[in-house]
Amino acid sequence: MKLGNYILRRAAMLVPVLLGVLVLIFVIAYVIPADPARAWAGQRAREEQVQALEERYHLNDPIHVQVYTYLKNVILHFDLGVSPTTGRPVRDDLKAFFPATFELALCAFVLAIALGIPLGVVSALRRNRPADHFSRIVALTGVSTPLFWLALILQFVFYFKLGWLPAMGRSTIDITRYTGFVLVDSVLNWNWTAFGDAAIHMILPAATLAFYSMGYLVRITRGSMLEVLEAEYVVTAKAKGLPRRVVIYRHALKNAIIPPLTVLGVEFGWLLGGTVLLETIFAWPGMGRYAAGSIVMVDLPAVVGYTLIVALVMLLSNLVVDILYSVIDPRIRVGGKGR
Amino acid sequence: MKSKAKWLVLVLLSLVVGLAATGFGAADKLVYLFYGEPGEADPATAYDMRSATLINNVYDRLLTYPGADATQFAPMLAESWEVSNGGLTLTFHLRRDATFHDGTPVTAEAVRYSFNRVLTMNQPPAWMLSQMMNLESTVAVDAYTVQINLTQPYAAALGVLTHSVASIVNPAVVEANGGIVAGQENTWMNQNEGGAGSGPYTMSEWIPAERLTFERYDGYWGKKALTKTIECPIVPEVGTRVLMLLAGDADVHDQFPETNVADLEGAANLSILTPATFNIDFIALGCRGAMAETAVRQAVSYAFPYDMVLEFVYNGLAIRSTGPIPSGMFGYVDPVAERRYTYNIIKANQILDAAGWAWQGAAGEGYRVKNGVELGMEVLAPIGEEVKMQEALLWQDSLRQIGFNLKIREIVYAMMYRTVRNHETDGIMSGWLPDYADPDNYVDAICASGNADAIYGNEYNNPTMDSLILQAKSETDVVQRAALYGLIQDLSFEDAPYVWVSQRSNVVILSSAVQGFYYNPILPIDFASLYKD
Repeated sequence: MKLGNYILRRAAMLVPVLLGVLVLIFVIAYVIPADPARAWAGQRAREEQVQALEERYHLNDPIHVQVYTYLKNVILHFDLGVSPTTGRPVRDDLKAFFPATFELALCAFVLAIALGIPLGVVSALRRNRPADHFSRIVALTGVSTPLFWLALILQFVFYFKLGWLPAMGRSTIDITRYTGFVLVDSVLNWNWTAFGDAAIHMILPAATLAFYSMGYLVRITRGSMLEVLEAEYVVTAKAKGLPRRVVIYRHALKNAIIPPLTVLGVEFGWLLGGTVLLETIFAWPGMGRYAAGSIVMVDLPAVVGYTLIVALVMLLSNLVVDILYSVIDPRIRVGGKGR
Repeated sequence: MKSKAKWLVLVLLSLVVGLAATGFGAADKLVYLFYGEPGEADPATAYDMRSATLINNVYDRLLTYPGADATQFAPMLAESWEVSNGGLTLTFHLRRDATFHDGTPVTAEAVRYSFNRVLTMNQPPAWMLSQMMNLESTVAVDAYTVQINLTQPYAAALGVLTHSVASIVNPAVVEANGGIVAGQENTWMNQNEGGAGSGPYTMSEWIPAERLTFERYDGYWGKKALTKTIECPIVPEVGTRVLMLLAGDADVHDQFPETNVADLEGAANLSILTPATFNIDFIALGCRGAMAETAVRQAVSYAFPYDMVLEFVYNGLAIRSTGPIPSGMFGYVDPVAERRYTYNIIKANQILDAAGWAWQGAAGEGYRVKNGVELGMEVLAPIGEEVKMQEALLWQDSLRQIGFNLKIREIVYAMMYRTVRNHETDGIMSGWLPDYADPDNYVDAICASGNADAIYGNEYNNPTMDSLILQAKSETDVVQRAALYGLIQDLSFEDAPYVWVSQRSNVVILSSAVQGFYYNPILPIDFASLYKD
């Protein structure tokens, strides 16, 4: 199968999956014994105000009507509804909060890959030597340290004790926000002071968030690399007298990278969805906080919008990984039909 | 390679400059911490304390309170006013030098437009106006005279007009940005100000979940704000707020959690104030099943460990509440010792003995029964409110000593309302945050039969109480009105439909450089009076 067809087929599968996610959220919201309209309106709201909210948000309609109305608004008007708790269109809220979370997750992702994969490779190549022990300790610490605890410790040390890094927020310098990605926007504004300010603000949350993924990647890469290094073709390559660099990077790493690549897609989704506590501690204006607040208030439009976005990004990141997969190992593309 | 190195140097340089740029404490700027994001910026829609903070500093109302005094009114947009026609007509004479932030004058027509807008949009806080006026009530007599003809006499009418919902908006700005749609909120006004207000500050920036910034309005009719810029980062994590206050990166924080005060005690750069609020905490008793008996409600009220809760749960940052009206408010009567509940297990047991509730086994062991029914109830404790949960646990422990089985159910807010209204529980750990400084705002919500059931699932129904509340609502004679509230308080002691627990303090943290702070228990913080020495 050609790469283009493969991508198209995978992309087409996004639609039923997203639809399934949508139906699932509505079913969950439907069965929860809550009174969202009352929660939104407040304790002293009059009954007719609560009823007006129920009518406006179709809360008394059967579930299939709710799903149909929602889909119609999304498809025809790209309207995700108005959040009853923020009073803003959900589309505007997501436009405001998604870039913050995505930018943080991406920076953490890059940091985790940049540190995790090389450390894993070094660990495998220096098996049972000090470098290996060090990498394994780092990896174990990474996967077993609670993120909120690490965040509080890093904040205390680097903000409060040393004064090197800011405690919270995304930036302190006003710039025109074209994309919502502050690092990108500061470059587009050609404002390097703002870029530095945004980068400084990014360090603590991104480093904290990257720590777990890095530990996980070190472990996966090390295990995979050790397995490949003992494979016959690597032994043959070594026996043929190929330089060590060529054996490791051209022959071993190319195959050993597939398992870490497999987990990267899921890992990015985790980074995207696992930021609630970090966003709270570092006052990071992202989707995690938005979602947590919305769930507590049974803010259905916001919860549905958030879930759809996260599901979409999860699916896309997995799609990207699958495409990379098929580039590295073209056998995957044929889907088991054989050549 | 050279080019790569150049980029690296550039990025590093940017980081260094950026770090320098994050230096705090710029002159003429004050940092006020928001612990959560305001709901909306639109006076017609907003109904939470953080939104009120935003709105009250950006918009003006007809009248307000003088400084820290919440018992009398002070002029704001109205220079003077008269109440006539047996309390049915309110006439306001507007000042002529007040302008909206776009420079247009604040007129009587703007007042009429603003009130009718609230009534037409009919959003959650609209009940405050609709309980006493309709679309015909507000009349612009001339450009600077407004008359409000109330639909029924309401002694608290002036108090209602101090609430953020009665803020005056600029009709031109509203009409240019969505106008008024019946039954719907205005999403633009929810997020922007854009010249709609006439207050001492303009809202220059609101980046959702990140920060709000307020700039002084130099054309303000009254005393100009003392600080040019108020920056308000939104910081949900209390630990982060503590570090920022200690490090001197934040200047003011009010409504600081009682449980974290110890983290800041002893800090040389901070001062901690704890003025009493008008917020009261209580336990609503469902008044059904065993709790339908007045004697049982009185017994459980005597079995609440008041002093222990105030000392250990509130860390001493609250005072006793003795009824539905808070201390310091008009109508509050400090009850004599015999007409207030104190922790008295012996008396509680005596009341239950007399009411025929007998111990199942030996006295002091197990629970009491009557007609085969075990004495007890279930109470809801909202998840996330640690103080309420701790109160419930201490009460549960104490109630065992009178043979009363208290079950505690933790519940999320969104589910709590439904459970309470459907009478699927017997009680709720709750409280009341006032809308305006008048006892009617409390007793009508808490003790009037219909409202108590609608809000707290409390089936308390005493026609005498309802009649007293109705009388007090329209009584224009201040002395007689105060006397009626005295009777209401005493009846609430007798009937014990609630366990009155506490009146909370507002824990305010100020950096030692901050001056000009005052606290009015019914108003949000006044940015205009604050400055750094």
